[in-house]
Amino acid sequence: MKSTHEPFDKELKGRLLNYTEEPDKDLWQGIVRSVVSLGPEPRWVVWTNRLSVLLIALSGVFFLTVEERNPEKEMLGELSSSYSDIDTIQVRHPTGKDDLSVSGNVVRKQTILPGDKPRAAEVQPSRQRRLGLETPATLAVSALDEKFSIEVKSDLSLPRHENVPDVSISAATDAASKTPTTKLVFVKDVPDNEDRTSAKKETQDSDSSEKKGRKKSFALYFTAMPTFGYQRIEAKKDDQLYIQGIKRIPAFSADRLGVRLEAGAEVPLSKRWMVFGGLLYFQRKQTIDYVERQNERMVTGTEGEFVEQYKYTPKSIEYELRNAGLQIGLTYRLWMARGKSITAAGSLLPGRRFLHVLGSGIEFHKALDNTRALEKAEYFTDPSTYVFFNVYYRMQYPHIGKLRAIFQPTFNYSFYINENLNAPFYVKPYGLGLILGCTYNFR
Amino acid sequence: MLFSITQLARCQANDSRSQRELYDLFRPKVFGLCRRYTQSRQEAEDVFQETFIRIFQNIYQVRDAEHVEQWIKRIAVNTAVNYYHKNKRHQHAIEDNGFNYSNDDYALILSHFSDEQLIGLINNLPDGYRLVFNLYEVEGYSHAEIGEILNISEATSRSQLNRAKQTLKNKLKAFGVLRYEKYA
Repeated sequence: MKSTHEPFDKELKGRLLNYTEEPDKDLWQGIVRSVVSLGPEPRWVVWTNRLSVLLIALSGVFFLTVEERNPEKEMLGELSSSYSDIDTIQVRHPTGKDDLSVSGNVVRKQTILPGDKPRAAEVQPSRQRRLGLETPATLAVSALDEKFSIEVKSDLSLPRHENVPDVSISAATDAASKTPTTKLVFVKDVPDNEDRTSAKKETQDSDSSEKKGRKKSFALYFTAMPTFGYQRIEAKKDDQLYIQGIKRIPAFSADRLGVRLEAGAEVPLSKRWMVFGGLLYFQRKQTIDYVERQNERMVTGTEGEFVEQYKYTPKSIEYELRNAGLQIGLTYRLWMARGKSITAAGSLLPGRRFLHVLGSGIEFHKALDNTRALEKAEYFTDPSTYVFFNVYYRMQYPHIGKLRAIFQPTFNYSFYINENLNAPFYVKPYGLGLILGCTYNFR
Repeated sequence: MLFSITQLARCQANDSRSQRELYDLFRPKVFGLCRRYTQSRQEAEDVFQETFIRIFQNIYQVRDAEHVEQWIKRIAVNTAVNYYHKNKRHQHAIEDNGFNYSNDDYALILSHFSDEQLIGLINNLPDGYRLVFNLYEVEGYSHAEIGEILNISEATSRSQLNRAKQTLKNKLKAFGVLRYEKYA
């Protein structure tokens, strides 16, 4: 270092060294745009992110509150409302009509487990009517071994047959106990004009025929789902470019958001297995911001050290996928409440009214129009056919019905995506997706 | 200028508010430096933006908050030098007229100039001259260091400094300054 001793030079140096000037105010915005993860997001992005988080939170609350609304004290209501899962219930009244007990052994309710203590539950008026009960009744429910019993302590007489739209009762004598036994048969879709007394027989007959029928029948579905995509991006190591950083996108961001529409048919192969196939439309906009670093030169620092200087160039790739395609796959129903036949996975999953499904499929996508690179078009080649393999877990509410809400985390593996992206980094062919939506079944 | 350790840590964590605070704290100084090293305000703005982009991308390298200002200054100088290398213009040296002046009344000479006018004079120097002048006279680099930075020899650095000063003298004269001491 040298020092000047000339007074003029000192004065000149002093004035120049301390010279300050205010830059234009808009320069900050230019810096913000250029620096990865610097500065606030645009307002619309912030609000979109907030809405996305709110949507997820509301979905969670929805699923949880729906579950809360189904306490076990509504057991009887549960049984009657989900009667399609119940084959028969035997009603025994050994001590007369004032002390009525109900027992059964072929129930697919998940909540009745071996070892459960007896629980008392009030029968709701609507349920009473459904069961043909005229006065309020208290039920004691216990589950021992695979059987359960429901004791009805009331002044009521036997359930009447006439005014019960979808429950029929038949009486028989238990030879062993010598006590009159009434068998309640919960019949699904029994026409009102049919003889209720024959409902049981028909139901028993229809049970087997329904099982056969299920295999043959199919349902059409339409599904609309906002999706969040999560992919892994890694810089290429075989080029001369160095990626200083890739902007991290929040988990629930508009940058990850896409829309997916599906329509097709599903055909049950068995009670648990189902095959599906159909058409799909997928649209997603993706932005990848990154900073490219290039070595420029070596300079000498203030203390004589060599300082490598780099050139940093913020770059951005923004493109939109609009694909139409075909899908085919297989699903497996996890939860089947039939006493001990509840699967381990099913017992851990929330909700008696939820349908838990594992699925896997293959999708063939074809870009509807050119994959549009809004900026840096040189990074993309022509679009082609995409092939995806996916595995997912789907939770649906309710487990029966036409309109159902869907929560579906998905793992995707893409076979050809790299061939369409000529960027200095790889988009890893695997990724996660989170789907929230609804599906409508045309039966 | 004080930039706290907390602010530095937040900047390093990409906290946008702290980054803005750092920008507000140093922007006049940095822009003043950029104005000295460039020919026009437009060029200064380019260097200024590039400087802060580099600052925010590399601030994780700073370990001591006390040295932030010095580090920022070095980044700004390096950025300005890079800008010079990228935008080298073929400029002809301005021939001096051979007059020599005394600087006995330097205070009087400089008092005639506002800071903006002074910067204007510096801006009008040829790029090479301006860089050597700034690096040597203001930043305090040696000719050897300047030679390394600008990829020129020490002798060239000395020569360019002398010519820069001579040119400055002529400009001062053109602005009505009567005397300027010969500077060896």
